[in-house]
Amino acid sequence: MIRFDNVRKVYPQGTREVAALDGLTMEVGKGEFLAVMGPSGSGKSTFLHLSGGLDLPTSGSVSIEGSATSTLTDDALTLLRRRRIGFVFQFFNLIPTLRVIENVSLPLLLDGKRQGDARPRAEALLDRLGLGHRKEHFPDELSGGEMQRTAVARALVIDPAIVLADEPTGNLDSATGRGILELLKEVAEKEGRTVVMVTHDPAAAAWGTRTVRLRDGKLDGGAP
Amino acid sequence: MRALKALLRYFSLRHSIRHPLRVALGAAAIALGVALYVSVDAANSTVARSFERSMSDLAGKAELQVTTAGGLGVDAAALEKIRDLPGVIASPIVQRSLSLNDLKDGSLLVLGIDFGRDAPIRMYTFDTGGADAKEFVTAAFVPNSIIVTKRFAEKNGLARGSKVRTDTPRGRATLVVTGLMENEGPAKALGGNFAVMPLHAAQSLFGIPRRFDRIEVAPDGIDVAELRKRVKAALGDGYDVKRLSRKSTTVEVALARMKSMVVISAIALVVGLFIIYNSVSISVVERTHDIGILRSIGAGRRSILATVVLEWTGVGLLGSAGGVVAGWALSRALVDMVPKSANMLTFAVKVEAVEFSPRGAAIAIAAGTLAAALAALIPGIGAMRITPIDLLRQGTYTYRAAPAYLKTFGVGAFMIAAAAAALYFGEAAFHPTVHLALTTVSFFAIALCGPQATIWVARATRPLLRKFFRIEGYLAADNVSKFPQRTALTVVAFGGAIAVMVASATLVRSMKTASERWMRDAFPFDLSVNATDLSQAIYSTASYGEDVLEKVRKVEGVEAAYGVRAAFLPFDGLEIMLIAVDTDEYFAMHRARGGESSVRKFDTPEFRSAFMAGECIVVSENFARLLGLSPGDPVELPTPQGPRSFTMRASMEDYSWPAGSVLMDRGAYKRIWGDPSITYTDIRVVPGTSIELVRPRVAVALKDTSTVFLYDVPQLQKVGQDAMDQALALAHVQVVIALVIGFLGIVNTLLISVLRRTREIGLLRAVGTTRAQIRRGVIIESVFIAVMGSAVGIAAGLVGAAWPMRLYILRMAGFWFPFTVPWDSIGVAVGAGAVLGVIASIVPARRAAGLNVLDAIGYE
Ligand SMILES: Nc1ncnc2c1ncn2[C@@H]1O[C@H](COP(=O)(O)OP(=O)(O)OP(=O)(O)O)[C@@H](O)[C@H]1O
Ligand SMILES: [Mg+2]
Repeated sequence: MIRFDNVRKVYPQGTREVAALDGLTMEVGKGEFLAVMGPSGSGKSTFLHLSGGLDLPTSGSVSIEGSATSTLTDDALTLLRRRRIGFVFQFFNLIPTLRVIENVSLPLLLDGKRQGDARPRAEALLDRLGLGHRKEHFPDELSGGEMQRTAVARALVIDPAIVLADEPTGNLDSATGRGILELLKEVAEKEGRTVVMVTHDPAAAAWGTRTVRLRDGKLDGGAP
Repeated sequence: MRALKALLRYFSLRHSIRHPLRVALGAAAIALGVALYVSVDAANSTVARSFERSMSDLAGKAELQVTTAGGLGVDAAALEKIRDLPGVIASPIVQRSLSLNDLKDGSLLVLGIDFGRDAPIRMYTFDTGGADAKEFVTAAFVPNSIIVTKRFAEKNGLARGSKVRTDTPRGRATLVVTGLMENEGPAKALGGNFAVMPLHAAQSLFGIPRRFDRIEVAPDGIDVAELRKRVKAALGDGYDVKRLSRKSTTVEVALARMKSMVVISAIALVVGLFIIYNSVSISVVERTHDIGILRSIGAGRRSILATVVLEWTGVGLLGSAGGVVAGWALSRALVDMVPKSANMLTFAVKVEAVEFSPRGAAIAIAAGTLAAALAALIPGIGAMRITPIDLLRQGTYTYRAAPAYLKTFGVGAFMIAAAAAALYFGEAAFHPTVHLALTTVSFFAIALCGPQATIWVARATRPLLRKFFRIEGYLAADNVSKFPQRTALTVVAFGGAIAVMVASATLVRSMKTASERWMRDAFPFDLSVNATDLSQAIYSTASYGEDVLEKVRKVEGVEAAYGVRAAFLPFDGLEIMLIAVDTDEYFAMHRARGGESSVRKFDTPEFRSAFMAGECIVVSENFARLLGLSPGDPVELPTPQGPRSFTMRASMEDYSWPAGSVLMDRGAYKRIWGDPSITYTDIRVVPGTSIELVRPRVAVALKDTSTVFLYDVPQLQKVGQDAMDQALALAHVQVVIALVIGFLGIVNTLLISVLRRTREIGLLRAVGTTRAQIRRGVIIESVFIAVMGSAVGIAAGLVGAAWPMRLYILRMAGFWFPFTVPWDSIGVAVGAGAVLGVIASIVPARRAAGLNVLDAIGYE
């Protein structure tokens, strides 16, 4: 599903350069629920951004579903994100001026779906995530767990082949975090989607089918 | 499409609702710019249209007019050739504007007609008083008769049988009102200030026996093309057959002055554009995060660009629509002003109601909307460039490294140089609109230079500010140099408003100074004897006979006198003014008065003899400039014998007539045009004699010859100044509106500036900065911006007025005024800038000082 081939990602920091990823080679298979761990600054988020086509590698290649992201046009990448990839950000990243239901149905509308088609799907998903009573609220009226579930709903509403989640439980209490993890597991196991989750919590990582560790932008221990 | 709809609905509309003030300011700025344009356009087109309607009422069914080729008037032989053609109605016409003495509103347009030939062309309806129409015509069309409209009769208390007096080149004449016209057909023209008289009576009254001014031709059951063919074939060579013009070049020239004021509304629109640009930039920066989210969930780059541009196009459209309504209301006020000053130039333009011009409204809405769309384009492209990853790293979008500004500065400087070069080398070739466009481009170029210039100025002044205002000053300067783009935009928007003020003050001052100097220089005499009342019309060419000049010369206390014949000549689709003077006396009077005057520069005996031989002429500077003439070039003028070439010997400063004027010897004029009459006689009194002593003597001497109006130089200067003030009243209205737009811009940008710094201010407060320090910092920054803006605005305003706008005025209004710097207005601009800076900072400063620390830090 996702292939990294000797990927380097270098960021300029003032006059220096920092290699967030430094020759990373690995693969994520279809239907896998991969947990990515590693110390702060080890390149986990960078890995996720490249996996989602949000950013491009400095060298090496990242392929999503067989196509190298560096060779795709911005439009093709956009289409990929719009149709195939659901992203759950660490800090939710909901649009504050939109109601929950609007936030969740927006990806469908962006894909040219009618309101009348988008809304029921978004509602069904919110109901399933236990947010049926929050549909008409604005993000700042929600609790952290509710916001994170809304973000998950927004990622899932397009039926993505790949779900990428950056510390989805990082800011949540354990009970709420557990709900999210259950949902991601279900999505991977029952619906056959590929799920990549970044976390620094070993207990959360245990929910995955496989765990990799990053250190200084490389696989820790070299094990694939 | 649906994606765009969703974006517009959820991304644009929500944001706009959250920031109504910003949207309103942007819309208001566009609205004011549009209102300016619409009001000028509506006032102009109302006057022009009402005149055109008068002209069509007057023209009736006539389609063509015949004159001698390249000449003035037409002879009876032409009429012989076409009078009996089948399908052709030909009517010879003598047309004059006439002033009837002792009447309240006595100036009118009179047509000398052959009733039998003219009746099929113009539908006259006479009040026959019960008599048979034929009998009425026979009785009314007799020598020394005039038939006026009922409206004219009522206004002036005339009835059938009333006697009216008028002055003609052959002396005073008495006419009898032999009939009244119902207010229909041609009688509706010119608000009823219209009359007819028998053709022969008109020919003898105006001293043109056996000649007509033109022959009007109407079709009788054939189409116009066929009509033209038949008339041309019958006439043969030597004649011009033209479509009868329903426009008056004179009125158009008069209106061009008003139209040139459009330049200010264009600049106002540019300032509005900057306000919108600022608002859009900020709204994009504010939404960087949202845009990042949208991009990461699959919104395309073009959709983002389209959304941002459409959003502000909508604001522009709303603003423009509002502007059209406001402008139309404003034009109701202007329409009172415009015809007044148009009337000064020609005879009666009567405006009943403001006419809505759909074309003007459409142009204004298009311009306003386009301005908004353009203003949104660059920030929109910035928005398009936001990548999903920017969402995780805010701040990178606004903060760019210095070299980028150096490059922009280079581009801006290059653009300014290019626009200047284009203007310089292409001056004559360009259409006025191109001048306008280049001016606008330069304005943008200044904006491009802004950020880097701001960095330099801020860095240079930082030590000073620190010294005088301690930490607050340092913070203000630091803030300015760290976010040069934001500051530069404010500076340029503010500068734009100040530039409008300075530029229009400069133009007004240049016009006034130049025309005042001209009126001092050009009038070497003490007293002028005019055939018309200048309070009614300043450009009347009504005249009297040469006997007036002879009598004036004999008056005791008159040292010298010369006659002047002022007449209009068709030239290149316009009408130019011909001024013929008695050469010896005219130049002698200039020499006798002494002092510097442009006439004396070319006054040599050799010149005078060539001048009197009718070989050469002197042209006004605007004429030379409009035609690109230099001394020695030939100028071809129409004469009764056809076109005739004269050599241009020199140019002189002269603001008599926008389309240009030509000075020639009166003896030569008399010989060539066969017209001995005089429009005014200028007198120099014997040195030491009081003008007030001579004035009544002249009046007495002419008592039985002609009704004349006597003016001394101060009186003439006042007439000229009043006419100028009339025309410029409009400019003042515009400057006020432009300043309001500028002020809106300052408030807008400062509010945005504080809003953008909310977090910064919160942090400063958190680390121990006091409220007072924060407040002072904002005020210092505001005044800093205002002072820089004033400097930019004054420079831009002066340069703009000195050159591109002066060129524009030349093309539109016909005058090339020497450049005068209005120091007092510049002082006012500097003061106003500083005061506005302080005022504009009040609310933002209070808002900044009153911020709750925690809320501020938490802000977005
Ligand atoms: N846009 C950027 N510009 C400059 N440096 C960056 C950028 N993004 C990441 N880095 C740097 O790259 C390195 C890896 O960052 P990354 O965010 O991938 O780490 P992480 O493993 O997600 O850390 P954390 O657990 O703290 O979230 C860090 O040193 C970071 O400072
Ligand atoms: Mg991270």
